[in-house]
Amino acid sequence: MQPAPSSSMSGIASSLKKNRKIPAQQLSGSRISGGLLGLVIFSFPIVVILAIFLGTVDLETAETLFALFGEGSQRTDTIIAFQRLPRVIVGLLVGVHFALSGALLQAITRNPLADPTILGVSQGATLAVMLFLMFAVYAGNSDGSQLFTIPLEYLPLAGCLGGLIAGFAVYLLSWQSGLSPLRLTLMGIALGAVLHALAMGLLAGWGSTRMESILLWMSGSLYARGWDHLIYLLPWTVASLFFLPLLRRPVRLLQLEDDCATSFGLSVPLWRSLALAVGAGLAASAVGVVGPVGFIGLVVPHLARYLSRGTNQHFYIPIVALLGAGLVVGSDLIGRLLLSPNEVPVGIIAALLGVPVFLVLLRRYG
Amino acid sequence: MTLSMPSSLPEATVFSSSSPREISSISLDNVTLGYSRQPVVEGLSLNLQQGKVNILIGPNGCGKSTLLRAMAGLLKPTQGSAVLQGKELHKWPRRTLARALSFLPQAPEVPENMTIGQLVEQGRFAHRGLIRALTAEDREAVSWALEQTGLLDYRERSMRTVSGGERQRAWIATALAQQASILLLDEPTTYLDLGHQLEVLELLQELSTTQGLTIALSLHEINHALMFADSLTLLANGKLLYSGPPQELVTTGLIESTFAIRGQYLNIPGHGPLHIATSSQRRKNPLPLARTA
Repeated sequence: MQPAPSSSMSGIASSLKKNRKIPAQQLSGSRISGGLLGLVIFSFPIVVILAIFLGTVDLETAETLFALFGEGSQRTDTIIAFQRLPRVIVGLLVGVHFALSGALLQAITRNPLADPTILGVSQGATLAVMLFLMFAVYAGNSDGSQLFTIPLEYLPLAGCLGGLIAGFAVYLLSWQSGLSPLRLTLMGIALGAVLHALAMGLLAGWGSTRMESILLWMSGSLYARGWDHLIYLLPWTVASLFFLPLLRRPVRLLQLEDDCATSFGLSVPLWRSLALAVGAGLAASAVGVVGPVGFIGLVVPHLARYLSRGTNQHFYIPIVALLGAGLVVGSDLIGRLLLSPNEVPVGIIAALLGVPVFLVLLRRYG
Repeated sequence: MTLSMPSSLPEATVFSSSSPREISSISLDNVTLGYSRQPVVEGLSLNLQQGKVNILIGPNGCGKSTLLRAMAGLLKPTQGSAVLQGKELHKWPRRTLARALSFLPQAPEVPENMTIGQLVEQGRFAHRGLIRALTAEDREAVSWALEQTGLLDYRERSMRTVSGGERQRAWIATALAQQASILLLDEPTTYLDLGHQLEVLELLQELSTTQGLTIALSLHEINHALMFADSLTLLANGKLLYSGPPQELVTTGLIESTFAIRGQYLNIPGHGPLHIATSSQRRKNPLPLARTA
């Protein structure tokens, strides 16, 4: 133990301190979580490699290896370079985005159930994507000639913008009450419900022609996601790499009451705004690209907290990112193989995998 | 230490020789404080006694918490000024202010997933900022704060699983780890049993005498206030009724009239008169059970 700064301060209180040891149960618990963490880190590269080597089209392992170095047949090269590789990379980034955004939003709304839906980001993105698809279909004259066309590749942009606008609206609506976590949550849920209702109304009213693509998007799919989707993800990934180290301590303080955080020296409105912006940006970009994949943002922060129990708290955010990336790529791999050649959307697999994990965590640590 | 010492304060020279901390005090001048235009405190002036224990007492809703929040720079006065070292509190950058004063709200919400050690480390934010790693000085401050509050062996315990008393002491340790020269505490003895209440108050008294800390706290227990205050302030309905040495408050009769109680003063050697309340003044018609048949 460190000596007291001043000899005159030898505490009266120290005479009353009790000697209690950490129970052995707690130690063995962190040993189990430590082992699981090792397993996760070990299996992550395996999942990524499997996701590249396995797929709907059955490719020889050696052929795939050649293709990775651009030496395979033209068909294999194309499948690897323009389908599997970008799909895996988009999956990794999307997983990181969802998981980090969930961790940020849970911390700053002080709500362990928060995920990108809590700020209305997912619902805003959904509505925007629907409006986009409506216009992409109906922006023609009644005689069938095209009035103007909106290229479908802008769909992720529409989703991203819709999510950001919804998140910003929630932010503005909560501004007057000093961005209190309760107010943010209530506003997010209220606005989210309205946007969701509008989206469902649109779907029921005009959705028939694009029902299938809308439903596929809404269940969260990595199908046909390619290199061009990275444009919507990478700026936020880079921004979060820059901001997350700066946000680490403020976010920890924001888990305290505002008065506490403020008197510990944090400018609460500034840092909460910044954390919200990064969280909403990560969520909106991911939702825009793959659709609202549930449960990653909700489950991963809890799972990471459990796994990082025995480690230094510095590892928490990297573990969140790793788990999110691995879970999305792994879920997508299972979704591709399960009913091959048909695909089960990644969002469905992620939810099916995530819920049991969540229930186990709740039972043990709830 | 980054704050410069105000040369105009005569006390500064007296204390600077015995303490390395910068000396400063808060003065409220004719402040009106309120949430959404309804004033809770009106036209109140008060100077915290530097290097002393200043205790605020008053009935529920009298404005103690509001006053402390204003002193902590968390509530901007709608009128008047709250000043520290010649500068209005709300104009201070938050981190600079946090190195000069620390404030502990009443019974703060318990953070999820934080051990006592991690919580107390949060008190170092004002010194560390966003990036800087824990230095030896930070560790020493944390250990010292934990030792003062008797929590050295509780570092690894989760804030959610410890008792109410241990939790409250962890919050006090966090405020101490901030190493500010002014310490403001809103009812720091809530949730503590009598022994731990006295322990906290003795700790605060010791900090003010040995380290020259300026301490302001609100209390419910009148006798603890009488025992530990160097300067006692009595509030009622947002107005200041008395501010001065506790011994003189006893002679005014204000305690009984403000709290609507009746009782007797009892002289305890070494502690001056303490008040034993025996009945409430408010109840005009006591329950039939209280009567003797």
